[in-house]
Amino acid sequence: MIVSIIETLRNNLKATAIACIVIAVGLAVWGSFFVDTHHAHTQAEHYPFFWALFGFLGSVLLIVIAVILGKLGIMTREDYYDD
Amino acid sequence: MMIDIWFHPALYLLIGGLLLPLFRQGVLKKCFLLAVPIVTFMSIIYLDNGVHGEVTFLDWQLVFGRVDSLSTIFCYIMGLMAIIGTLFGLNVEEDGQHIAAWYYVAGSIGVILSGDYLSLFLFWELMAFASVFLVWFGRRPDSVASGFRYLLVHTLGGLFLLGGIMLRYHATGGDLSFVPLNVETPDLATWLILIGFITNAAVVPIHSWLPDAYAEASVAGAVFMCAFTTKTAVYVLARGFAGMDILIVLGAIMALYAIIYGIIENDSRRVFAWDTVSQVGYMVLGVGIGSELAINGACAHAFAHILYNALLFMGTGTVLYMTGTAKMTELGGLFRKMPRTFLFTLIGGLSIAGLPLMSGFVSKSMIIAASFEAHHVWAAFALLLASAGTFLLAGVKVPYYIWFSGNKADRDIMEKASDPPWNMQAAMAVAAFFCIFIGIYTPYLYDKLPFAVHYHPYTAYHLAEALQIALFTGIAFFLLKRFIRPQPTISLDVDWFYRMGGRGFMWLDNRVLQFIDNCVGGVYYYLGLLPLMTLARFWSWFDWHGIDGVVDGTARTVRGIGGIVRRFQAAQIQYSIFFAVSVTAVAILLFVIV
Repeated sequence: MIVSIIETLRNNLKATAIACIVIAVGLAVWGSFFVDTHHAHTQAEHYPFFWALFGFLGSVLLIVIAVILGKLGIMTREDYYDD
Repeated sequence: MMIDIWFHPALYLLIGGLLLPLFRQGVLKKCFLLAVPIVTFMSIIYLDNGVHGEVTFLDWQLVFGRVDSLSTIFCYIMGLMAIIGTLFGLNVEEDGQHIAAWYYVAGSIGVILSGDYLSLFLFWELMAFASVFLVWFGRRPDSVASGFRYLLVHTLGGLFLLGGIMLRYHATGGDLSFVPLNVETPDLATWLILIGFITNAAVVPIHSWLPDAYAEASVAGAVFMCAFTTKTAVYVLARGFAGMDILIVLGAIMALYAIIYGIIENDSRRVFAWDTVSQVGYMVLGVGIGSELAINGACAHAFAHILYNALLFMGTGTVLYMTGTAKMTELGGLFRKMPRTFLFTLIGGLSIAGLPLMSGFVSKSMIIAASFEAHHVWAAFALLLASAGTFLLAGVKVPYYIWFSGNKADRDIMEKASDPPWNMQAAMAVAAFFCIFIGIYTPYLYDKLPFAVHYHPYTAYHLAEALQIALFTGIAFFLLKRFIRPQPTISLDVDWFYRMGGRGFMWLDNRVLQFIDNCVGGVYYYLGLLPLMTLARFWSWFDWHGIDGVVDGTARTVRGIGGIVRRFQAAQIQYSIFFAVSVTAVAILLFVIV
């Protein structure tokens, strides 16, 4: 069952991707305009799409930092310690 | 002394470990293997609140059983995890692995129930010395070296702890009881105890032992290791250091530092080891805040974390067990061969990422809410950023590169890949059940917490926040995945200093100290040994020719004459008669003439 569901999603990759994006955007719209924001802790959270942007830009930031540090020499060959 | 008939839960595991080798391989042994942790768990459930197992040893009052709301929840989850871990490792035939794992759990339960520093230290060391065998049983190329590094780091941490205990013992005039320490104006003893505790919590920069050891441990051993050491450390921190400000900073650093390393990591077990450091960062931060909500959050997150982390290590451990590798560069496209393992690992991944209906959602959000409540806004946002990173790693990256990502695993790995034996699947199913159960039925976890809970995770705002962070993190991953595709590399970390430092010492030893040793040896040879030998040879010559010449000269003269005489004593009788007659004739002639 698990395999057949995955196969169906993979065979319709474009539709799956579009569905995901539609759900994500729909959630962001719902979260920005239809949810009671009095639970928010800071002023910034009242801006529309705050958490969507936080998730997206935060991940980009983490990836950029990790890739730069990796390129600077943190990532090294697997037998580095074997010499 | 009051005679308290109280059976320590750890004793079941210790005695069980002693009896285990008496069983032959078979159904009975498997029943015994399951029975011991189940009995331990039952005995934990029926622990009565209060102080048990008080023993007077020399001048010290030892407390082996302090049962209160804080120790109960930790004991409960350790007992539950012992059952799941043993079930997962049920097909392991080496008694040593089971015994090491049980002694390790016994150490953890012992620490949690200890009411004084002396018994705490005893069980603390038991944990380190039992768990190192789980690394060595890994039998991977680097397991032995990794195990020794693990042991050295923990021994050093233990020495800091012991030093702190000694100083505190003197400062308090002989009080060994383990109670909340003065975190407002900490003295040297408090700092040393803190260093001992945070070594086991893998607080940056003393964290490298964790990914190093967990990635080298045996498949079943890593499942145990990922649960006990760090969460026992969270317990002792919550007990002794609640409200210590520096832990807020350290926790936030852990949460983000480990995510950065996880992104560039190739070995999937090591990715989850980094995730462990990151998640323990949440708990350390919660302890640092120290409010009721924050301590509740730290305990709830430790509880949830043990289950989903074990699930993640079981999932990736299964991949390693079945295919022989856990490196994402060598895997891919396994979803047709290992669909159930994929599903279980995904449940673990979504739980650690804190998605709604999963355990992480109801536990880590308490710590974030406590951070906002205590006006540590930057700490709360650091944890939310780490949540995005966690989803990136555990929710997307690892599942994607092991089970999808085209079909790059080679034919050999593909042939070996399949869902594992029943016991491993059952253990994953139990852990997955609890991950979802905790997420759906919050009273199960919240009723166990040390303080009354007034927190409601399922608000529309919180749901919108968590789902948006996760989904847009997912989108960022698929847009940028070509930059973070797994590479066949390892990552340099602070362990470089002691690994290369060790080598530096070896170089110093082999080159410099050896050279000095050679020089000293040379000087000794030429200035000491040679003249001595020459002198000895002279005395030997003098002894032979001088002393013996006088004493033994007589003997040598006698021997020389004897040699000449012997020439006349040939063995043939006619010569003897000839000589005898000749001598007699000469004698008669001389007699006659004279």
